[in-house]
Amino acid sequence: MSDLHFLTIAEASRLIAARKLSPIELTQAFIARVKALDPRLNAFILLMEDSALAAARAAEADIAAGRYRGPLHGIPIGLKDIYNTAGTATTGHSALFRDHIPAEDAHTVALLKAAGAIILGKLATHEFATGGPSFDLPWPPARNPWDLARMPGGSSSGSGAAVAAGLCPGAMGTDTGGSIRFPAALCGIAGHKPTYGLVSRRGILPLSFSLDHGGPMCWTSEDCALMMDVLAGYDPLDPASADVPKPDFLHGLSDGIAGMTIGAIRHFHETDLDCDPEVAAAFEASVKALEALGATVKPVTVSPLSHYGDVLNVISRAEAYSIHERHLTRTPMLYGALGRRRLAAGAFLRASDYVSAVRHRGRLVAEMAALMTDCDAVITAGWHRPAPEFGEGAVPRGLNLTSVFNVTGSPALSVCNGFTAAGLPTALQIAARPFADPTALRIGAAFEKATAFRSRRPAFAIDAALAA
Amino acid sequence: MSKPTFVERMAELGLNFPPDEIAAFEAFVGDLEQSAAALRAIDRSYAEEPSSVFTPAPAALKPPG
Repeated sequence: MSDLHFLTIAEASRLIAARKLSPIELTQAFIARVKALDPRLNAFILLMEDSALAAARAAEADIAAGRYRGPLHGIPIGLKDIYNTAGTATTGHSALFRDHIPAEDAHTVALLKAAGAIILGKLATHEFATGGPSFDLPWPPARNPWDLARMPGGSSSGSGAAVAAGLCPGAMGTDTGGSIRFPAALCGIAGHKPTYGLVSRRGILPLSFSLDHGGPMCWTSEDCALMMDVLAGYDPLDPASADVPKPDFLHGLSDGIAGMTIGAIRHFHETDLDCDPEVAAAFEASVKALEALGATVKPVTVSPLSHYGDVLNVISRAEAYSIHERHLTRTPMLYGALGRRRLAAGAFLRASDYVSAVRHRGRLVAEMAALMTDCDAVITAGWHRPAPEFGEGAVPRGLNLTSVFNVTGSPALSVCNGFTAAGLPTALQIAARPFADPTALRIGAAFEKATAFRSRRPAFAIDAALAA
Repeated sequence: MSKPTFVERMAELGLNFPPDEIAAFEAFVGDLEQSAAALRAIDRSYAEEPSSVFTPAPAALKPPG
């Protein structure tokens, strides 16, 4: 079978369940592709070839014996290298943790393994999920498979690049201010930041405990739903885990969106942030596509983007410094320059700054909750520009379109909604009410089915670059 | 009394970074301090105080042992 590397999780799992595809064959295909392409892409920090093949053999034996565990059984998955893996280094892409060998898997990794998923390897990230892209770390930064001279977004940079390039069909990312949705947007894939508390963070290296989320990154929303069905659930050992009934991610996923009301937040990209015109045009085309599917899309407004950005900036920097203070004051040179800067800045905040941010966050959460009483979901542009080249400038005060939903804790999905004239992906962000993650995924699935963007892969761009 | 320099503020906090990184770090901290100042400038009614959301769970109220 050719092009196994471009099967979605849903497609591969149907073949595996029907015993038309061997987990060993599938895993070998991904290992071969990683070996061929990753030297230029740098998505992987560690390819776990031996353990992946052993897991694939076990999966094949289980399935042959009639012990099929579900849609992730026999599916290779990559892990952002801040997910603890028992006995295998979890580096945070940092020299500081180069020799950090956890004793236990992260809770989510254990869930994936229990579902029969095959852990293919550890993926590049910005240092400790914030300090990147950087060239002064032990491993190079991941590159964008649509154009190797460009950034893939971050901090789940390796996850976005690997899925888009067909190095694994699904990956785990984390998201504190957009670190799942930003690389998903720039790499043209689907990335889901779950509701805060829906997916356990136990065993994931923390950045900002009140804003951190773990979640899936895949080629489609359907695949994200398949992964969420395994990942979601109460974990009493994560203090933020929500003891709520687990949503049904698969029922109704394909039922369409006719009759839904979707709020369109345009001021974020029209007035609050300097936005690329092709991104704005893709957003308007997406609105029309959603309306054609039977949804009512109405304009809505919330607080200026800067309010969300400032709250996120202060809370995340304060919490990150509280985590890294000991190392930053004792062994600062074990960080890269960008990691040092971003992780240490919180030292300059006052206690009252942090408390003010937490209090204002409460207002913004209430504002979004009120808006959502009249809307099943809201949409924004996914990212304000297509992938920039390495070294291009940052946005003042870290403003972006994704951090809004880290502040509110709402579920938020990024899906590809087009391509620029230069062939770079653009994205749409879909957010729903807390714990209504299936609604966002259902809208994403309907949108992807109604549009042609899932049929375009970056393989030619990579192959052309490799041939050069 | 003169205002402390950025390097003096760093030293007070126990931070010691290479000299060629100081300018970029100072700019980054300045950006963050703008965020903090913007939040301080937002009016908040005294009636909103306090806004603590800490709620002890029943298990936390059990005596030790």
